[in-house]
Amino acid sequence: MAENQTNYINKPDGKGSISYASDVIAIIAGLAATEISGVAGMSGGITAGIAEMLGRKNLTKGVKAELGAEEAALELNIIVEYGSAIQEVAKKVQENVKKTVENMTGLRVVETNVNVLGVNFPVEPKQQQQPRLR
Amino acid sequence: MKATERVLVVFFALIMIVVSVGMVLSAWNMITPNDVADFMETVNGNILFAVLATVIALMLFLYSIRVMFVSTKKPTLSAALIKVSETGSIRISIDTVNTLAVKFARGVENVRDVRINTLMAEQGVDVYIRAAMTPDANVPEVSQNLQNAIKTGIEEHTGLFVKNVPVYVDNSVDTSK
Repeated sequence: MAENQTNYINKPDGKGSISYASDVIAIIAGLAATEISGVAGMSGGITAGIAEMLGRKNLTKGVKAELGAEEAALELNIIVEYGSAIQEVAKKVQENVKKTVENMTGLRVVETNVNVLGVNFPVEPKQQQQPRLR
Repeated sequence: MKATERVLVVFFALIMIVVSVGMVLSAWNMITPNDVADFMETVNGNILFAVLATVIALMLFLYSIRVMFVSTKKPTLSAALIKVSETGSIRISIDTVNTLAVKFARGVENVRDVRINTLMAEQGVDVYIRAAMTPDANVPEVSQNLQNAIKTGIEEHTGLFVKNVPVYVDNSVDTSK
């Protein structure tokens, strides 16, 4: 897993600082994205797929969070459900992620980029086929 | 692949074919040093040949340099398309658009099977369709239906503008993909 950056520092009233690991932001963003109906899941690419097959759950997959002094820029890679209006789903993901991260962390989300990397087809129940060959 | 790149690739390949054939022929003594000497004699001082050779060498040189640089570039996200709003940008991978196009195409009546290639165009995509139809199909009509289905399907589901939908009807389409 990539290094867990702890770049964000918020100093309210000089009483001390609050810093967030970028993984935290990534997890919040990822969950906010998957909440939207029409989102089948986050796309982590091939490495994430293999890691998951080996049993390690990756909660930050598909999300890149860049934290600045007071703001955050997010990039999400999602997989949508077939049949959904993709641009609508992507737009809702943008809005929900921005809102959720801003509410939960107090960070200002400058930009939320969404990449749709795939479509998930519902699994159709296959009928039992009689073997034609003997 | 851009047009110029394509031309260079074909060109490069041709040169390699000539070189490899030449190597085999000389290795098995079908081209003797005498032949080569004769060739060089007729060709030396021939302006046309000189110009031609320079042009070819230049193209090879440029292409080799380009090949070296391309291989060191980071592989980009497999061709994504962009729509921008104030909240951020929304991209859709070409793969996704292609998968959707195939799904829409298969739903069209009288279409037996399709192979689709989606390419980025300015302000949208071009969807190249290679379709196999059922024997009773009215080809112009089904092609039109195919084009409409894909254009409306993609535009409605993704908001992406479909610029061209060229259809090539070939009843030997094999979807090994």
